[in-house]
Amino acid sequence: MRVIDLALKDLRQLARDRQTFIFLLVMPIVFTLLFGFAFGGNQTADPRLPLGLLNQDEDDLGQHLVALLEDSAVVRLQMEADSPAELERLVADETVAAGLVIPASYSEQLRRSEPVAPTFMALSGGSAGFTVQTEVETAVFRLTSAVQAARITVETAAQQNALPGGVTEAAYFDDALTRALAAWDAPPVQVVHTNANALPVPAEEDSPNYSAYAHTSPGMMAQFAIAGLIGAAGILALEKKSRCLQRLVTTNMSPGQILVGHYLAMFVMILLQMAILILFGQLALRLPYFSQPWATLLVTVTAALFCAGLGLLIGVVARDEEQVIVLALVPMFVLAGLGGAWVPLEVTPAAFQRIAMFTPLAWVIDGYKDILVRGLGLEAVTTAAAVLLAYAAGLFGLAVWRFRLD
Amino acid sequence: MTMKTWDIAIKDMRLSFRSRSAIIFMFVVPILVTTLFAFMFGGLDDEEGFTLPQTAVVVANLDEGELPGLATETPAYLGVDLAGVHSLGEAMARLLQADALREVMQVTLMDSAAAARAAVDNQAAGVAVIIPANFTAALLGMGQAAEVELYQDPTLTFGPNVVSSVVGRFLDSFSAATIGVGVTLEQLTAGGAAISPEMVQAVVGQFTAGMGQSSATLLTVQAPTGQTGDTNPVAQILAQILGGMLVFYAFFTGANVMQSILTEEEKGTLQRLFTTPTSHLALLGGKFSAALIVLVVQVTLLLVFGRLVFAIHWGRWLPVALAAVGLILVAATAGLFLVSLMKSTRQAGAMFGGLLTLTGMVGMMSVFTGGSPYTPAALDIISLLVPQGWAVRGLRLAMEGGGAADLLLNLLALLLWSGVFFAIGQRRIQRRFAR
Repeated sequence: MRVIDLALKDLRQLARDRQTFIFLLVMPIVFTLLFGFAFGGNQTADPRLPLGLLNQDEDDLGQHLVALLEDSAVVRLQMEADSPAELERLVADETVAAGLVIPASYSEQLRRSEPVAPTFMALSGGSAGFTVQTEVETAVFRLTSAVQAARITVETAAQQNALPGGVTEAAYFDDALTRALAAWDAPPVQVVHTNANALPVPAEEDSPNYSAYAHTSPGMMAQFAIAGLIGAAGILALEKKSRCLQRLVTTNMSPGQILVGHYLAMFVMILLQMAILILFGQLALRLPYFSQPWATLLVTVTAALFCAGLGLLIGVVARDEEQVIVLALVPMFVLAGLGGAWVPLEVTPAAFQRIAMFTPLAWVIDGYKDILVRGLGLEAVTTAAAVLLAYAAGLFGLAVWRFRLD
Repeated sequence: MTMKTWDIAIKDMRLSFRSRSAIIFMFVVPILVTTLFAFMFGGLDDEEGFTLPQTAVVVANLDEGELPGLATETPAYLGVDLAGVHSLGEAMARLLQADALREVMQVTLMDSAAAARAAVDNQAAGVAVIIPANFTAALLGMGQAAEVELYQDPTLTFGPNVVSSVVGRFLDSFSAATIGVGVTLEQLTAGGAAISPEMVQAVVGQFTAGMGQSSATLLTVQAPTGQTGDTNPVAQILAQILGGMLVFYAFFTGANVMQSILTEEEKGTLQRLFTTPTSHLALLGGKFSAALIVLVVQVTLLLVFGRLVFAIHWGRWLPVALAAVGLILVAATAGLFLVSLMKSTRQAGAMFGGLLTLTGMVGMMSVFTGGSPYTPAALDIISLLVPQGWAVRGLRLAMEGGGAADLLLNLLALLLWSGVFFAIGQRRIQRRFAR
């Protein structure tokens, strides 16, 4: 009963503190929305990447290349540059994701089988540039192969004396080129994409920015669960500083009971925080947290147990509130960065990914992604839950050891 | 600056540099986070910059077709020996295991589509490439179009995109030969030419000889000549991160140093100081000077550290200096302003933790979304609603090669923020001292 009294006292103290609400609820919600907006993009506008185009070729093949790019689902053409220098400026300013210059002699050289290549400009290292380059290369390859097909057709017809009477080689070439380009509308083999996902991805109008929020919601929830410890761990530090804790030890409450009381308060606080943020994710962002309620509950409870363990250790170690802030914010930054709360781990090198799996936040995020993106249930999240439980036990043990030492 | 003002500034500076938490926020966290990102993106050792993450790929070749003898003579494609392959599906599987692709794809062959999908379901692989039974038949023009299925882990985006791009390129190469042969024979037939098996073989030979064209011949790729500064993408990212961290924690430093007004008030040392012939102006000047000097040290050290350790090219010295001056002024005045609104150090803790984190992260949005091609333009405007956004913008302009003229407008905006913060802050503090 005393344990519960102590926990209730902590919770009352936290409820009175405005700072608690800022870290626990306001910040994760604001940053989930901001990051979701930032990474999901403006859904009302054309989501295709802008490609600045300067077509200096006045003949037909340049136009064919433009037509192929106009049909692209990946890039949209912006033809506002009057010169290569102007296009370079647009690329450098990031007004466009990349720039393409089709040289004046493109048609002529391509028809003659002379080496000719449009100039592609992009800022080095950007994923947008890589994506656009792949798309442009596909279009250039298809045009080049269509030209090659037309040329071989003309050469073969000429060798076999099979050119129809009254038809010039140029007209015969154009006819073959038109056929080849039309054939690329339905190539004999193509790629189809399917997802290993038991959950159907919601329609865009039902859940705008779904994929962006499915990453940022768990990431920000995990990050700010640690930030939220500042208030709760601060209570413990304050009790030490004001000698209240020492007085408490003189009562018939055991050190273990004191720690469990504080731990319980932290656990309840984090659990409430996560429950509200999950509710926000489900109702406002339409993320399917409730599609697997037991799995969501298991990940949430174990994540809260881990966070409370970390909070207890911080509270025990810190000598004052200032130290609590340092001891909470530094792990928050490190664990959030390493755990993939900011940048998805898939874009990091293999060694980083391996190290990340030693961090509890990576397991929290992975557990939620199993539910939200992979559509998996209780069985899939048991490993994540077990790891988080182990962390919780380890941190609680460390806190007890340190408290006894003090 | 009077001697008294200088003494107060020295004392406050000493306190700041002796505070372990201040040092952690000023230097340790920005460097720690930047190092974390350096590691995250593969470090700076590689001149090429990014090391593309390797994606585990499983390939199930279900192709039941058989190549006629003429096609098996194809000697090599993209450096991969294709001699002896019995089907184009087998050729495709062999191509996906090419040495050139090992850095980005780790390929394992599977016997069935179910096993390949199961590997993705169990997260043993990121993508399954399932080559259908009619793959060769479709490419030999003997049946319906074939669909190569890319079955992927839905949590992954980058790796499957790379795999899709590679597979798409191979399929286009195969398709180009089929389309070319089809077009040639179709047009010759339409013109009334007699098609002999020798002619077909000759035509096929011409098209397959052209397969495997390197992408280097398709485009001439170049960075825009206007792009200055780092060409190493990792250094570019680290510059954004360290620049963002510098701005974020400079505001904490300004607030932390100015917070000594509250601390001294609570300890009663401020009241004792006022019993001596020390003017309010000298006291405020001393505290403000301390904030400015501590910020100069912090900003300079982090800029130099970034240059020496992370090889960050911050830009030309004058634009960088203008960006740094703007940052230092706005961070110091923001500290004065915030402290003038606070009643106690406890309240200040909440305000600094909450408000500065919130505004700092809003100001750093361009840093967080730096690589995203889908970032809405409105986000840049949102960032500029807070002073941190202008400070980040200043550093970014300098890094992008902007000149002093480009930085002036930004500096003016920061001076405006600083002026407002200083005017309100010093008036409120003076009034508090007067009480």
